[in-house]
Amino acid sequence: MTTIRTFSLLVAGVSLVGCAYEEDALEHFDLTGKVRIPKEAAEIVVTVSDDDGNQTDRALDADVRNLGPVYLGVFPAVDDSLFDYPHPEIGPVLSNNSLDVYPYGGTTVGRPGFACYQALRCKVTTGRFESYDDILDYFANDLDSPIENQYGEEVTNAAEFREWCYEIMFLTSDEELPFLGNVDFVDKGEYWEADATIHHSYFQEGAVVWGWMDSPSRSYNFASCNNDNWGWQLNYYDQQYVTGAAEAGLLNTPDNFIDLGDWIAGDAPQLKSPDDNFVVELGFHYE
Amino acid sequence: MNSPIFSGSLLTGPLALALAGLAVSGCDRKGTDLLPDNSGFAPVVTIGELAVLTPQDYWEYRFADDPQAWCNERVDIDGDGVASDDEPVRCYYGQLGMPEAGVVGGASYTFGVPFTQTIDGIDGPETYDVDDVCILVDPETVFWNHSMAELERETKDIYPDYHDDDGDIDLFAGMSSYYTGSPGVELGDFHGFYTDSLGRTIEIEYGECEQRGQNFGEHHSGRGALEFCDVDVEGRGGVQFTVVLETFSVPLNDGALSYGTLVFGGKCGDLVPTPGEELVIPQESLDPSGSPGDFDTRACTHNLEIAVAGEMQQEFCCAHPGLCSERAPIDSCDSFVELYDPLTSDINVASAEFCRQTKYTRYTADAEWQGGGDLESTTLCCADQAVVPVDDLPQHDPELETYKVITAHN
Repeated sequence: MTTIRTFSLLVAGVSLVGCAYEEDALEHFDLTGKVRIPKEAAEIVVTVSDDDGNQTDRALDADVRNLGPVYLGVFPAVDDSLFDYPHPEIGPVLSNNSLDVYPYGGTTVGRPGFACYQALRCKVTTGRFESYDDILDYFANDLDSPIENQYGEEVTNAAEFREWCYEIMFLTSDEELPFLGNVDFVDKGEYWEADATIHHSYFQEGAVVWGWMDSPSRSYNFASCNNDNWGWQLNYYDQQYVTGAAEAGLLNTPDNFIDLGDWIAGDAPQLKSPDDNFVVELGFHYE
Repeated sequence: MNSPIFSGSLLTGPLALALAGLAVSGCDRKGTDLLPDNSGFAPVVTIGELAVLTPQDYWEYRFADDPQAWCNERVDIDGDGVASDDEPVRCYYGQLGMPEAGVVGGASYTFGVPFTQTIDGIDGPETYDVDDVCILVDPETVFWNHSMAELERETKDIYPDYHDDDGDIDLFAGMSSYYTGSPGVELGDFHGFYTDSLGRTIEIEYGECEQRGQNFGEHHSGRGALEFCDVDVEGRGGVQFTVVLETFSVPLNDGALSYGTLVFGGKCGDLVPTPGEELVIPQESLDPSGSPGDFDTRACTHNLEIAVAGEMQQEFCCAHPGLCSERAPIDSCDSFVELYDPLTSDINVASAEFCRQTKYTRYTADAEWQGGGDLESTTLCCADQAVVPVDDLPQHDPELETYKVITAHN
């Protein structure tokens, strides 16, 4: 009986020690805030072809659909010594291939989403379009580049668009398509504003939130999207291709993907506490 | 609670002692008694410094009669007209022994990145900046997977490789300032720590020798296969790099892991053909000869490399069974015999015909860099290993039949 009593006391003691453990030493938190993009960033220029095949530039008015994917990250500091724009502090640079910034965490506000047609690979960003008609209108009228189906014929109505999406991806509702739905950004007059949450980020007091928007090129391509290696392989009879997705390493080596025309966080807000509601303004136009 | 087990009477008695004795003796089991004595070969070696070869150097090396001797020449790297003993050798062939249990074995060496290199151009010397180097190592001769399927055996590689002569080396490289090892004493790596401006410390890899396979992530080649990687050295002239050749497996037949290694000023893509990797560093299977550090190419292994480069190892094994596995399936050479001696189905006749028909190309002795040179072809078979004599093969009439020629000169 003495042995049993001793063992019981030992177990109880260990249990009590366990109760004394407080989970306030965690290093990772969900960081929340907002990202703002100047209206000017949504005024883009694209190259279109006229009826004679001549290429001309077309300026598009500010429109949330012109905004590319936004990449946000948490970093130890921002620097401007290696490139002509504010960029995260870079770790040891051994060669041109090693520009790792060792981020603490990150997220996106809109990302490249596969919108069912091969011609739309790396062309549609999530959180920018409300409906099939929205996409059809944008590509046909703004970009002057109507969406073509697998036979090279123009897609003109939402029903065909939906049917094709459901067919090749075996879906049954629009909720399963991330490129449709609520638009991320809200019009705030001088700028667009969106909520952002950086889940499970390492936090250190003094860390900064920095990011950039990958603006479309004049040919309406996005440097942060890759349809050669990334995405999933679509195999639907004669439709066989990689669907495209965001590049790997966007937050670890952002400088490999930022190019002229992008909008970058000029002043990265510093975090004193994980509860700070950051506001990141992508106000630096890299041009 | 009065059970003899719980009371401990058994566990503290003779049974416990016996179990403890067995456990202790089990800990002493290393399996090294199954391996040959390799005490003649050091397990951890420092090679010193190697030069960075130009394309012209590599051409001379590649077609040298004795590549090991060519590598042993020192290079006048300081340009004083004398290649002194403290200057680097061109490249290196050597052998490694098996390390003690728990010790990482292998070899290491350094090289300095040249700012420029000069080669003989058509219109005179040509000097260019060195933006990339390619580091290569080739352990032991060859290895191939063989098919064990029972179907379609006539078209599959069913003759097995001889496993006991295979070895494997893993290649790593990075700037010497990040190397953690002690040359010749203890092999190290290129792991280091980076502390950011907020004081967060992250362990990172400073090694720059990335070998990519079909999938993402770093890979190493398997036994007997060439390993190589590009390192971007643009703007890093004068910087010293360390190369680590880590022993992964030592051959069971002699306990000595032979290898050849070199550094080339340029991209690996300019140097490594596919297939044909086996010929990039030729004749790396070695037998010691004479004084320490002198080697001879193990008999016929160069021909075996050429056969593998030409994807003719199955036929080669049938004609040279001593160089391949002793445990070949009984039908390994059926299709070989059927092809080369359809009339009598005799392995010797088929081997003689194979040796007569199958040749490889090489430059003649008077060939020169850029000027090219005449090519000659010679039989793939070895006089001392083939099942038939190869010095008295029947004459060949090129107008009636064509040779099977393996291109081994590039």
